[in-house]
Amino acid sequence: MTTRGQDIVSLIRRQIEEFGGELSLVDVGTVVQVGDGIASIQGLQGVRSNELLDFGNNIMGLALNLESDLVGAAILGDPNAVKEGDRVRSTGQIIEVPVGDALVGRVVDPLGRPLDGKGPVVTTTTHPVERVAPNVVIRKSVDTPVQTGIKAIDAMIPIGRGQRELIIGDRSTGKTAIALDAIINQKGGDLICIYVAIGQKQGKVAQVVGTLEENGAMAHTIVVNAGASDPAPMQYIAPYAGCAMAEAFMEQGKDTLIVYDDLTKHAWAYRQMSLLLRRPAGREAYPGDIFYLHSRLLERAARLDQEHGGGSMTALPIIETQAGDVSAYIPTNVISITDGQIYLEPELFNFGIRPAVNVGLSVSRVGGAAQTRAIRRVAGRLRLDLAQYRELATFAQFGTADLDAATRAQLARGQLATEVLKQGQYKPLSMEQEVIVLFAVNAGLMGDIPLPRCAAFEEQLLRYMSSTHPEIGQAIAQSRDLNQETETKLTQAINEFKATFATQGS
Amino acid sequence: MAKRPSGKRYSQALFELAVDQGQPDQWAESLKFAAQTLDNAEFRALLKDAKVPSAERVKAVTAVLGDLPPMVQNLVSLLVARGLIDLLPQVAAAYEQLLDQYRGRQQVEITSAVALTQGDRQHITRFVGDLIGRDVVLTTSVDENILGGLIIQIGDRLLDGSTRARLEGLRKQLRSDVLASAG
Repeated sequence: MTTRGQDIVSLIRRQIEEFGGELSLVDVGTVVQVGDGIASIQGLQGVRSNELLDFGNNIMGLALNLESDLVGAAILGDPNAVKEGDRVRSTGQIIEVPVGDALVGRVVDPLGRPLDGKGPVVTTTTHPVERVAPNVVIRKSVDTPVQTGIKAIDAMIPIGRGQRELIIGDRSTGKTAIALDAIINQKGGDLICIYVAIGQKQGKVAQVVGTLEENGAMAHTIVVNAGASDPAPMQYIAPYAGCAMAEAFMEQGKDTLIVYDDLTKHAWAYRQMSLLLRRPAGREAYPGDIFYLHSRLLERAARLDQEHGGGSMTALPIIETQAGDVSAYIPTNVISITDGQIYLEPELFNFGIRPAVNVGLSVSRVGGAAQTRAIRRVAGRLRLDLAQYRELATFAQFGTADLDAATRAQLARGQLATEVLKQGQYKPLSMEQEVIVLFAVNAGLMGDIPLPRCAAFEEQLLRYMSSTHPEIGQAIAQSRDLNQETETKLTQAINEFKATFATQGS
Repeated sequence: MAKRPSGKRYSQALFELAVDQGQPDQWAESLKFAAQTLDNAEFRALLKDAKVPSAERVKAVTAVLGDLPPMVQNLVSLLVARGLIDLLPQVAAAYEQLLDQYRGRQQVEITSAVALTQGDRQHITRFVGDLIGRDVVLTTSVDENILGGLIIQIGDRLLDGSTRARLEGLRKQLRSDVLASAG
């Protein structure tokens, strides 16, 4: 304690010695109008776009509209504390957030101020919130997978590091759950995860943080929160702030995963700001630059080449649709920006198919190149099986007795595949576990298991494999491939297990 | 932001007229006087009242401002006729700025914790004049809250040398230094 005290004393001494250093000229202005979180300011001649303004009393603002006589600024903080006639100072600082390792494991607001009561975030480096995306020369194509631990996604809609994969669906169809599973599955891995909550209910955010903590996933995660009760400008900068934090890690050569939950509310916040700033409204009252709003954000996700550290930022933006309308303005925009989408459907969800991924409409445009060979080998037929099954399923509603044997076999395979792709929440599987299960389906080893017992079969099989034949799993994990020898061993092991499973069941 | 009519354009036009007629300084006084005279909510409400014919409204203004130069009167009448009379204070302020620019002057506001002596004022005027290379028109005010030192505002720019600002800076610096050393 004494040394601590001494430190502070010497600090103060130095401060006193250097007290009253040089002065600098700052631009000032006067608030002429304020309302709805937007202030019109006269003066501030030298102010730059996106510059932080100081309203006094610890309230900051963001200069957004630079006009001939006035500056339109968004107030980042309590808008009621700013009055007409207040003096505003420019800070010469373009909006920045703290970045670095100190943030990992923390819950912060979009300006990097802690919200979790765990003390100050101690970091000296900051990055500007708005930045130009890495250019094409320093990028590399996607070649390493992000294992989400969700069978349906890893097998059929693989996500690569540096990819932007949209998660889209109606309310409560499990969009956040998929993102959380992906974050939880990175436990003990090398991915740093950032979860940006935009305009969410505070209760839901608390729940998310609780879930991450419970599953030990906060150790590699940053949560950036701009809640539903925060002013629109805070919600507007939140994803850019999270992106800046991820970018800092990416530039250090690390791999990051960022979830924007959700960009629909982000667009709403920006629409509110734009209308209040009296920018011309376009379709659905969104301003003209709503496409650029999201494209410049998602473009910052990248995979850098080795010369630039080889880091990556994978983005999982989330979009909430209304009544499954994917052709609304914001969903179509984001679909066209991203490298594919995971489409979740309420019908499937209510049917008990969870995650409720619509395999037909979901695609990953670049992830295939990143898929591990082992998974590619076992997942190859899955997509086809499911596609054929969906076509036949409509007929099958009228009874299967009249159908020929081949069709019935196809139906059975499709049903089995659908059943196996169901997966509980917060139960991500490792890559080798996914391979084992999908291999069992693909090789026809599960054809005789009754559908209701599939889940139990899968669970017990995985337990059996890890206790009795751990070497098979290890071989797959190490080689990331499934060679002939492992395949034979695996078939043998699964058949062994089936014998015991059958006796248990009867 | 929606376009609102700006007082700047009117003042610019009036100023050009004034320079042509060689009376920019007198008109500045007149304009200030007009703005002060019309700084009465009830009277302004009358001047904006749509029920009163605009000719009547203009007549009311000329009755009050009869002694002013005709061009200044015309400007006020024009503003009244267009329902823009609220712009008058802005026009007057912008005119003042144009005049300062024309005369190579700069308005400078000084805030100090204690009243300044004549010598201080001269000293500051010279100092700021050298700094910006223009004649300085000084206005001073006293604010005890700044504790000491001076705040010099030159147009839209501010030079804050008050003790309060320096103490604030010290507080901020100490806090971040202590934090950094704690980390």
